[in-house]
Amino acid sequence: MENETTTGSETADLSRLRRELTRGTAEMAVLSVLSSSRRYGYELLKLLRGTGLKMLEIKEGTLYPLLHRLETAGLVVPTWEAEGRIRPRKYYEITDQGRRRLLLLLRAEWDGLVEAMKELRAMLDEVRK
Amino acid sequence: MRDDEQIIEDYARVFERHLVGPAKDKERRTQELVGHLSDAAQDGELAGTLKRLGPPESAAATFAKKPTPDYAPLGRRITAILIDHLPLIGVSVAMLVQSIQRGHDYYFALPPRLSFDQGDGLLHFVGVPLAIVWSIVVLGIMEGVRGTTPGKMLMKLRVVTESGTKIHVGDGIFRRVCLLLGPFAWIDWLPIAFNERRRILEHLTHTVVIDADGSRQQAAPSLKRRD
Repeated sequence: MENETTTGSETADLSRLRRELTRGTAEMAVLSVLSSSRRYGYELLKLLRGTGLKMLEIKEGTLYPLLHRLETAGLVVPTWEAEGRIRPRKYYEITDQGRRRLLLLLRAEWDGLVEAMKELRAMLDEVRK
Repeated sequence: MRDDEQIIEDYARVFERHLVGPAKDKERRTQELVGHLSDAAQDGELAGTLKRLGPPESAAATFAKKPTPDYAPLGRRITAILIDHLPLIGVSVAMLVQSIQRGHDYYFALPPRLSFDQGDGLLHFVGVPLAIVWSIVVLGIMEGVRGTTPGKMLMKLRVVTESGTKIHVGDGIFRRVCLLLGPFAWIDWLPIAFNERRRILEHLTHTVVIDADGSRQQAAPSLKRRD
């Protein structure tokens, strides 16, 4: 019973950690996916949930507010297209400003963060030895 | 599939009721939701998607345009208040005139002090409570039902939740209860003096006054090309 409680607590902790990581990386993930091609919301969500980010808990409640925020900031631009469908579909396309932001996020911030974490782990390994 | 369509239609109908803003904007947001749910239904994922979205009210918060905290210009807000509270202002002025006519000490308080003492005169006993009922209850219900009041409508302002959806009637009323404090009601506006754009009760009710005109301008450009 105690073990089950501990496991439940660890799962909740992991889930919280994933939510925090998602919050921090969702913008970069969305802009990265959109940098290859324009996408509509459901397609974007499926891609994000189905790839390496499956472990990150990205949901509609994260994705759409983020898309609308990026839209307001001019980092993505929406277009409505019917393409023979009954209902038009809203596509999101990255703008030049969005690409610049992605480069800044990816190259400067993310790569820097990954490097810093690697250095920290290496340093801790050294200390342990 | 027919069942799925019905589920989506029912869900979208309730969803749209929680949105505020111009009809075209609400229609586009509903279309985006319906598109998302239809794609999920085609994938056999409708139930899971609806579970993640939660009730239509939560979905409305997900798809609504988030308001910018400093959205509503202060000048227009004050003008809207003056229009909305005309009965209160009228009663206050009438009480001032009455006190002058009767040769009493000048008495002016805005908003006036609420009193149920008949000795204070008919204006105080009937006029003030009626004006306060208008300012708190009637305007609060209007904000909950229509998202705006006559003054705000004229000034092209709207009240929304922090998520950008329609506010509840209860919150519409509660965000106005400071008027019961009479002239001390202005305490509620103290944050504005410190360059904040929301009153204390607006913080407590998680509501925001936004520029309805501005939201139309921001939401429309990218859509216009397809309209």
